[in-house]
Amino acid sequence: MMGRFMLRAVVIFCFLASMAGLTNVAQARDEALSDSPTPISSVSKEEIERIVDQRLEDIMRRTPQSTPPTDFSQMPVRGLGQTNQTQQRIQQGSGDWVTGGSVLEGGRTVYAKPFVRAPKTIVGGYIDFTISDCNNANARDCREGLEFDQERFVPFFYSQVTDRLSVAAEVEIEHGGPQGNQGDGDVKIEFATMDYRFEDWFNLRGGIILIPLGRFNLVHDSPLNDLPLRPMVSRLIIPSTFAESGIGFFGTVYPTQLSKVDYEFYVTQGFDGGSSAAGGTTFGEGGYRGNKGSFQTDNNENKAIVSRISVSPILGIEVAGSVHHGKWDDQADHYMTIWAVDGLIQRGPFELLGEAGWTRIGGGSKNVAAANGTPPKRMAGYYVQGNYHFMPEFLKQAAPTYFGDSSTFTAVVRWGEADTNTQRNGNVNDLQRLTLGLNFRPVEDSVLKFAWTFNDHKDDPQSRNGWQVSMSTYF
Amino acid sequence: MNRTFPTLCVVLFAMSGCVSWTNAPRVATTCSLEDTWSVALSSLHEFELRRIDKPNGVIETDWVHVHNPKTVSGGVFQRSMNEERARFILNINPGQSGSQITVKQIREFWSPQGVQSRTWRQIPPHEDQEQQLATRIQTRLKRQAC
Repeated sequence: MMGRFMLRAVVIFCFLASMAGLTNVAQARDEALSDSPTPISSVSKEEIERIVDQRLEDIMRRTPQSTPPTDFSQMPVRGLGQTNQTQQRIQQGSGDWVTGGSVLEGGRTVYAKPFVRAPKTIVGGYIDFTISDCNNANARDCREGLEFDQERFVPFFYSQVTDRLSVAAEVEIEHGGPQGNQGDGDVKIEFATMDYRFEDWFNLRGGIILIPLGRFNLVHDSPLNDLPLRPMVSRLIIPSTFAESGIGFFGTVYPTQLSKVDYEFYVTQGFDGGSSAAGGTTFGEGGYRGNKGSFQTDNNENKAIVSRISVSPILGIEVAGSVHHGKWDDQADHYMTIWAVDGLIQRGPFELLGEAGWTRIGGGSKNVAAANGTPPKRMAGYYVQGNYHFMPEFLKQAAPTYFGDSSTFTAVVRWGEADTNTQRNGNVNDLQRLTLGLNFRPVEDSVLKFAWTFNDHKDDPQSRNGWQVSMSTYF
Repeated sequence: MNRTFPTLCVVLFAMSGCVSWTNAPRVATTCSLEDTWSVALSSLHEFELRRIDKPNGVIETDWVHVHNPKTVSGGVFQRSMNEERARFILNINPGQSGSQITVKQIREFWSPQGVQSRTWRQIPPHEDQEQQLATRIQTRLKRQAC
């Protein structure tokens, strides 16, 4: 009985209090219309709701001057990916200005916005599946006959731990994982980094770092690429997906109004090429994909340095140079340096991109003797690729549920070469490849690809062609 | 390979000359440079400013996060977590009979998806937003009746 009474009293008190408060709001709004305030008793619940809605709309609409309204003040502000420079002013209902924008340290108003309640950790991934028939061409990634390959299932994580600290990672499960039917798959971290952001131009990154060597390694996710097969240079000369344990800095500067310079600089574990001593065993003409350094230990105490500087003078043009330099052998006697340049030009529906890499290996020789610790001395490769994006209007009209506004076709042509011992003919990887492709993206994150691959193994009369059909998507 | 790659580099370099900016909106006015500068500055009231260079006639705003309505949401959590940020650059210069302002937007994209989470990448500006700001400045300049 007493409880019911108390409850009723609280409800009545709250109702009266809210009426009084809302009447003030109503008063403020109606100041220009009437000199006498509306009595509480004459306001219905519906009217109160209407007044509150109206008042909120007035606040949102109000601009300091009666100029054409912009919606910039309505632009959402999120913590993800931002730095403390990404603040914006948000207009308060009172007409005052406050500085907001940083979700965890910024203005009061942003806390009220619903997007702040979005989860701070994002889980997603990508998957691909390829059907290929390479007619036993015995070329890089185009080797066998007709086969199905669920090559990559890659969950990723992104977490904004604080306003400045974020974590990003990709976990790759290849060919069904090591416990697959034939045990021919694997599971590994593709990259797992912690970024601490200071300013746009200076940030700290540590962990298993995706090595910024060339362009392809940094955009290797299957749904981002327009052909089923990776370029040969990005497999043999730059062993993509290439990640190493390390730490370093990255950032972006804007030297002029339209230009942009990105840089990355890391100190990493470096390659583990085995022993270069007489009788030792190191890598041969097949390349050094199997000699990427451990994420845990170093075969020598000499660390490698890796850096990439990318310059974009204007939107649509980007040129970059990168280098990886460190000692490769157990004895720390010999250096190995990989240089790469890459570029991208975009103009309307056309794209032209390419990448070249050169490797110089200390202690190497044109006459490879891997069993005696002598690797090849020089390797090189490159590719150039042209893309043309198009979407026939009649398809969108005929089947709008299949071909939407974000759907697009892309015609692709790629030419590439790779040579894992440029000083000697007759090595196992002296390859040329022309690829013609067509893909369809129903949305930007998903792609169905087809490609015809013309392989030319310079020293092998058995060179054969092949085709691939692939589907991949982010999820 | 020794000949092919340099040839391709030359072709790429030559083709880069074909690339140019789309035309940024321009506002011409009979107002003095001083008045135009003041109006331009006051028209950027939503933004933090990172550069105010009156001698060179340049105003640059800091980044603001912007929403792209065309962004498709999807994925396991129906994510709409892709980000875009933009900043404006105003160039205020003497014109033939007064002064002129050029409005340019720099826009960048970021996504938490996989490798795309590593950095912001530049994307084309939203021309309607450039025009929106230019229109606002033009309206204010007209009100100055100069």
